[in-house]
Amino acid sequence: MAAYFTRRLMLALITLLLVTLIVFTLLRVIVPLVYADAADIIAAEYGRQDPALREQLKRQYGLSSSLPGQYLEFVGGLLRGDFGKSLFNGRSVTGEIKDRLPVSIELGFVGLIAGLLMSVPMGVIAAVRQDRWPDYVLRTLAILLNAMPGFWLAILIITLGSVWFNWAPPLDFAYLHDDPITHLKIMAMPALLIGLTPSAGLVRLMRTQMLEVMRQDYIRTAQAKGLTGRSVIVRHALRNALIPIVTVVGLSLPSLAAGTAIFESIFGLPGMGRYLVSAVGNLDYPVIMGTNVIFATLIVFSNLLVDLSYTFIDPRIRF
Amino acid sequence: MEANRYRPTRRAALRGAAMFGASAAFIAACGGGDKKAEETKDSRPIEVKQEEVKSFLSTRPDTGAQAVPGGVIQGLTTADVTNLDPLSSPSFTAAASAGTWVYSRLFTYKPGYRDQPAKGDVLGDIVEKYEQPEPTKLILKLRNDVFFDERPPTNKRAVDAQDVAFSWKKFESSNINRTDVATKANPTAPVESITAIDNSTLEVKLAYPYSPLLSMLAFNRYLVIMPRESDGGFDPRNEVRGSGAWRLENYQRSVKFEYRKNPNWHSKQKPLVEGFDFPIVPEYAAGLAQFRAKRVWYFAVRPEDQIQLKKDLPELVVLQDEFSRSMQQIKFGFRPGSPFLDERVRRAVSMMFDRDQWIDSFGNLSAFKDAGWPVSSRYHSHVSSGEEAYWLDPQKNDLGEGAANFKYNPGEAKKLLAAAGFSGGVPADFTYITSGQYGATFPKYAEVAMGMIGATGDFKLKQNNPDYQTEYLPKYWYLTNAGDFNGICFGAYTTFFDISGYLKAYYHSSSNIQQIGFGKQGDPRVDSLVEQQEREFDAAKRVTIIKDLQRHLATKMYTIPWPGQTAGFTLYWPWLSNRGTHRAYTAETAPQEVLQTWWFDKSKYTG
Repeated sequence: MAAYFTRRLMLALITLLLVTLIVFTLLRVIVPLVYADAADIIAAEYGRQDPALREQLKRQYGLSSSLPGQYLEFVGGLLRGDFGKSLFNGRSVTGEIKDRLPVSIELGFVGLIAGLLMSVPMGVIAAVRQDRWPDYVLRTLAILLNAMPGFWLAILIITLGSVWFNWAPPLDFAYLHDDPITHLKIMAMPALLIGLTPSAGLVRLMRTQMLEVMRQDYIRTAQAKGLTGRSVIVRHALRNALIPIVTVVGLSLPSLAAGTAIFESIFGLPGMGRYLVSAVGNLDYPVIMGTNVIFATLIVFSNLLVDLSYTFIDPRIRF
Repeated sequence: MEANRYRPTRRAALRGAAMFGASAAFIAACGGGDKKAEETKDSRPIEVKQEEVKSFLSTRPDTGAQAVPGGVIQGLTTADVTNLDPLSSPSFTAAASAGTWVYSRLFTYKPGYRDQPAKGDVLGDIVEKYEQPEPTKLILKLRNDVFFDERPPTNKRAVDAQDVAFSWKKFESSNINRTDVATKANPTAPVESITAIDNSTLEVKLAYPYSPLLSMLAFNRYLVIMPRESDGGFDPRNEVRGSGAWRLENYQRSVKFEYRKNPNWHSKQKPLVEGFDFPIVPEYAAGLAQFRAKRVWYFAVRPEDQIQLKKDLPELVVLQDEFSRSMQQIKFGFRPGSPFLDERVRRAVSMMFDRDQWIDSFGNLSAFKDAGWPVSSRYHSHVSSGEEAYWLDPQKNDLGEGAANFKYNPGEAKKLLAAAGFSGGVPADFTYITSGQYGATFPKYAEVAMGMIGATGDFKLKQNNPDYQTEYLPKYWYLTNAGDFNGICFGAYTTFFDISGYLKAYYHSSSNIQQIGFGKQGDPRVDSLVEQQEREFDAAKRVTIIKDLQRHLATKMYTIPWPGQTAGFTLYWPWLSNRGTHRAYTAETAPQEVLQTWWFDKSKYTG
């Protein structure tokens, strides 16, 4: 187990190094070739296609040294935990990420928990009541949830909430450590909505897994032993049906945390998504590279954790 | 047996029907409101409705005498800023936020009062008095009671002439709008230098006599006064140390701005409120919900939502706006061989616009009229219809023969095209951006314009949506080689300090955003008229020159002004007192000019 873990950790680090190289190459070599670089963007705002101004801006923003040199500087910074400073406001990217990452992870995590709390029972009920009305209702609901974009649902809820009940989500964002109650009030609705979309897929997956497990011999044995239906489902079937769910859930978390930009905009939350989106518009290199490295790290380590978690969920699996 | 398992039973069919019915009901609840709207349509006589509207329309009363100081006004902003340094930020957002709230300027615009809109006259801000000993020289004497922020490193230091000179140097070397003002950045710009003669006296040297100079010096996007300490003493991109009516007390990126009154501001009785909060809420629906829930006290409600909102929330106060001074343009590519080099083709484009239809659609005109709201509309000439003193109404005779070009007349357009040798139609690119820099509604305007121009098939338009920063800005907005693009470009506007700034920027051949093209050579008559009005100090004569310019542009149609506008409405909660009483010259300059007169009337608060 320890050897496996060490090997995976080394692989993860190599993957991350490759990610930095790919992101840097895309952003600093490919994008300027096919689009523009940050100096072009700023020069355009000045209304001038002036090579001297462009050079001046490149020097000013530290973009005039050689690309390999800039890459090594970037990786060196990463090793020190320093992602550099935003080209446009001079703020430390590390500081911004420290403030914003917990918001996005919390949104993704709570969303996922909410999604699981909805989808697992729904999937189990749909399987147990296969081809009866609860199954039809829950499957229809799952398809509906899958078909409705989360941001649309968010706007609908806000609009109808305000029209019918004069309700609106809280405006003043507060961090968990500053004001937990306000924080929960503002995070609850977006987190719930974020959880809705993946929960639609999870309901269907859970149902399929449960149906498969329920046909296994050991379930029949458990039933033959005279165990109650609840005990068979919860203790024997559910645990085994959850294995692929864990995989999906584990791999969803980073994408949920990274994909919250629209919800952050609608609910006024200072998360990573809005930070990345605003940086992409300006080609703010340190911000884009920093956030990408963070997202890649989340994905790589989620993968690792998912793999390791199998040994706890399914005793047959050994590394 | 197995096959029978999937045969629908009567019960299953009933279940399916019930679910179908529920789905239909859901869909109807989401979008099937037309019939209901029809049923609840207000059929009272228009006079009754007009009387009712009069009862809730604000008369802009001055309640200042009853004002009780205190309270924090709850506003909302839709966008964050690139950074907070108004003089060197590569975006106007810094000047439009912290720049205008916190930093003083040499002059401010004199607000209008009640039924009198602001006219663009100026008042001293940090300037106490001024004199103009010769046409190209202005001497400014600064007030001695203006202080920077009491927080370090400025420590409530008095603002002096060295700060102004420092700010000018920074402006002329790094501001994005420096080419409008500074000769160093643009040889045809008016201001050569601003230098300190002593600690409280400044000399402004001009390249040529320039009549709107004071107005230019009052504009928030140009010279704001920053402390010398901003050069190394603090990072002006992330901190603000100003001397204006407000301080930026708290700024959380992507979350909110909190402005609080500057206790050391030179006007001791104002601001009346403690401050303003502006959470950043980019989504319109979310903003509207906050407004309905009374968490936001004023909000830019879209015209199409206003009537219903007032019905839903009768407490809301409705204020009639004035006509906007902003105006967009539709411009043409003038490459060799371009069909738009022919004046008749350009006139034909203009005649394809059904201006009444446009104004009705985007200004919600018919709905307002039906509801008895006193809405009015105007066509733009080549000067915005909000420029009361200068605008010539294309629907009246003042505009001369060019007025015909503003009439919707596809038949005449066809004849003009045939005469110009384009009876087979004019193929052209139709360029506009869709990426949101000009707001969510901008592409809709463009689509409607494209539809109108191409309605008869005489213009065969091909949609072109370039990238904003790398293509649109350099090739279509900043015309380094004026008119060097194909087809038609549906453009946006920028904000100007005065009609003069607008005319120079859009129509003079020296401007880097001028739109009348011809490889930078422009139209000598246009150049001459623009220059004449800049140098004309007699207000009446200046008006005459600008009207002449409009008549000339109306016949040439180098650009097509946007069709027109309505003077719409603003909705706000009644505890926001004195809203609309004092009227800012531009929305952006309001924080230093009128917002200090707003006050929070707790007796009316129901939030």
